[in-house]
Order: sequence, then structure tokens, then C-alpha cells
Amino acid sequence: MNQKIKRFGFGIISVCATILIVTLLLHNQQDIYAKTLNKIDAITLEINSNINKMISSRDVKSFSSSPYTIVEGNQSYKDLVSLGVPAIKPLYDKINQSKHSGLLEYIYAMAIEEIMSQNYILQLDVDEEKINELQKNGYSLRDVEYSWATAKEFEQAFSDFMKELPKKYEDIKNDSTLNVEKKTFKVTELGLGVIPYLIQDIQNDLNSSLDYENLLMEILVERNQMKDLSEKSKNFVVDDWIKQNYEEYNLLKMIAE
Amino acid sequence: MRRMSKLFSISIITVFLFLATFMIDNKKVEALYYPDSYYDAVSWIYQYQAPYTWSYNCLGWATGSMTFEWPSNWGNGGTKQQVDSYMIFKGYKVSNLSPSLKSTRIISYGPSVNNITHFSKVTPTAVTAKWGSLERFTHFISIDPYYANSDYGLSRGNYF
Repeated sequence: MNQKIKRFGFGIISVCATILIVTLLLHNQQDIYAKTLNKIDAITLEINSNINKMISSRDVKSFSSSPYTIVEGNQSYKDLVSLGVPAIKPLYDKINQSKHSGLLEYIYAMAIEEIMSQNYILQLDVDEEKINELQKNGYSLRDVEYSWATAKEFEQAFSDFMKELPKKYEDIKNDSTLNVEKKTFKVTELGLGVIPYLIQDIQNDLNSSLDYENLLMEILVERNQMKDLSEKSKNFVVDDWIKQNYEEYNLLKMIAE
Repeated sequence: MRRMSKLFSISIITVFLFLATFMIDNKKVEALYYPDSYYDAVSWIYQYQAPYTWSYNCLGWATGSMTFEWPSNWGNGGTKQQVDSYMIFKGYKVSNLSPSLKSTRIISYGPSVNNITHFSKVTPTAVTAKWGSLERFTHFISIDPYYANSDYGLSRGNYF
């Protein structure tokens, strides 16, 4: 009887502890989100003011229709990008919740691509008529490099990519036709978005031919979150890195949900 | 008879004055953000149509999306291949003929063929364009309303 009570007590304690940990994690995540959102709002005011200044100072850039020309050398845009990975989810939400697809939303989309160091490609409607028209003008489908052209198109391309990512990651891991090298290459290609799932696997200590910790480092270096693999790997302690960055990267997972 | 001829002369003069006003006033501007000289350096024929805004740009006006539309791989300007293939995927056809008000729907402009920086929308009655973050203008029936040495340059392609 006593043992039953003890077991019951332990059970209650473990459930409470789990709820407490999850609540704390969620709270931390919400905290990071809210703080970053405040920073984005402050920078957005700066961006607005800079564009107004560009127009009022009769800068030739006012005549340009290219957002890339407009943000060239713009410090507030650089500040937006320097917010890093925690800014991805709030920036994405801003595009998603906006009724417009103007310059500001476009700048948010550019910042997401720059932080993620990755281009997201919208799935195009390809029909025979379009392929014929391409061929008639001496082009092939391969010549089409188009990714996205408006903030709303970016939102579609990015959310499609993030939603398909967990399945793609699982498929690569389970693909028996691929060797470790090819698997590593394909997972690295998924970019920073795969990191929350990698962390999960590292924490679950899964048995796999893949070296998850090395994979994590490689992605961080390739996507400019870490400067030099050889130099950093000396001091890189995976557990410490996860502790420091878990919540920030977990926000990326919410885009897929 | 004399009265009739006087009336006729007055009508001719009125029509002449009206046409002259139109010719002189084809750069007439209303509530422009910059002094006329800025616009004059870019185009020889323009008239104000809508206020300055950065909610849409030239391509967004030309395609009718009314968004800030600029393919992410074009950077500061698109190449002929990039622009042609984009237009094809938006449902337009590339024309190898000279642009005309009747058949053309969009004209591309740029300092060179592989540096397309601007677009106009063509209807049977007028060529209109949104200038970057500035105002929208009508260029009346001019297919090539920009100076060759301006940032917009000459017409480089047309789509229907």
C-alpha cells in the first residue's frame, strides 16, 4: 500500500515537473518572441523614416523599383538582419498578417532570406503553353531562375518549404539508397530550418549512421551562424550550444505547425 | 455671312489655343513631390496620375498586382532572359515586333538590354507608369517617353 502511494506520489511529481518544464520553455519562447517583435517594431520605424528621408532628400534611389537598390547601404535594414534567427518567426508573422504586399513586407522577406542564408522557391504553375512560349524565344525551363516576386509569394514559398521540411528530413534519414555522405549533404541543404529537428535527435540520442553533432556544426557554418568550422569546432560544445539556442531555433518549428 | 466667318475664325483660334495648351502643358504636374526638373531629367512627356507611394512599384502597376513586385533574383535590374521568362510565367507572350498601343500590354525599359529597371502598362489609349517610390504618370501615347541616358533608358522589350 505504502509503495503504491509512493509510486503515485512520484507519478504526480513527474507529471508536475514535466508540465513546469514545458511551461517554462514555452514562456521563454514567448519571451524571446515578444522581445524580438519589439525590436523589429523599433527598426521598422527606422526603416520607414529612412525611406521617407530617401524620398525627401531627392535621392536617385526614389526612382528605382528594385527593393535591392532601395535598401543598399541602409543601416536599419542591416540592424533587422542582425537580429538573427529569433527574428524569423515574428518577421514571417508580420508578412502573413499584413493586408499589403508592399515595400516594407518585401524588406521583411529579404531579411528572412538573408538571415537564413537561403533562397526559397515558389512552385510555379508550368503548363505546355508556357513551355512552348519559352522554347519559341530560345529558352528552356532550366533557364527559369524565378524564386518569388512579392512578399506574399515569398510567404507562400517559405511556409511551403518549412512545412515540407520535417518529412524531407525523415525521408533522407530513412533512405537506404543514400550513403552517409549523401545524407549529410542533403540534410545540410535543408538549412537552418532543420536544426530544431536535429536538436531533437541529438537530445534523444538516436542511433544513426549520421553524426548529428557534426551535421549541426556544418549547417551553422554554411548558413553563416558560425564563422569557421575548424576554429569553432575546438570550442564547440553541443550541449552548451543547445542550451543557449534551443528556444530561438524552436521558434522556427512553429512556422511548420 | 461676315458673322459666320467671324464665328468660324474664333472657333479655329479656340481649337488652336486648346491644342497649344495641351502641347505646352504635356508635362503639367499636380502635387509632385520633387521639383519639375527632377522629372524633366527622366522623361520628356509625362502627366501626373496618382500620388507617390511605396505600396506598389512599376511592375506591380504594369501587371495589375498593385504590389511591390520584383523577382528576388533580379537584384538592381533584370536581364532580358530573366524578364522574358518571368513574363511568360505570368501568362504574357514575348513580342518581337515594335510595341504598339493596340497589341502591347507591358513594355520593359532599361539602360541596356540586360539591365531592365522599369516597366509601363499599355492600353489602347495610353502608356502609364509608376516611377519607383514616386508618383504614377501617364505618358500619353509615347512608347519611349524616357531619355536614353536616364535610369529608365529606352524600351527594351514588349509583352502581350
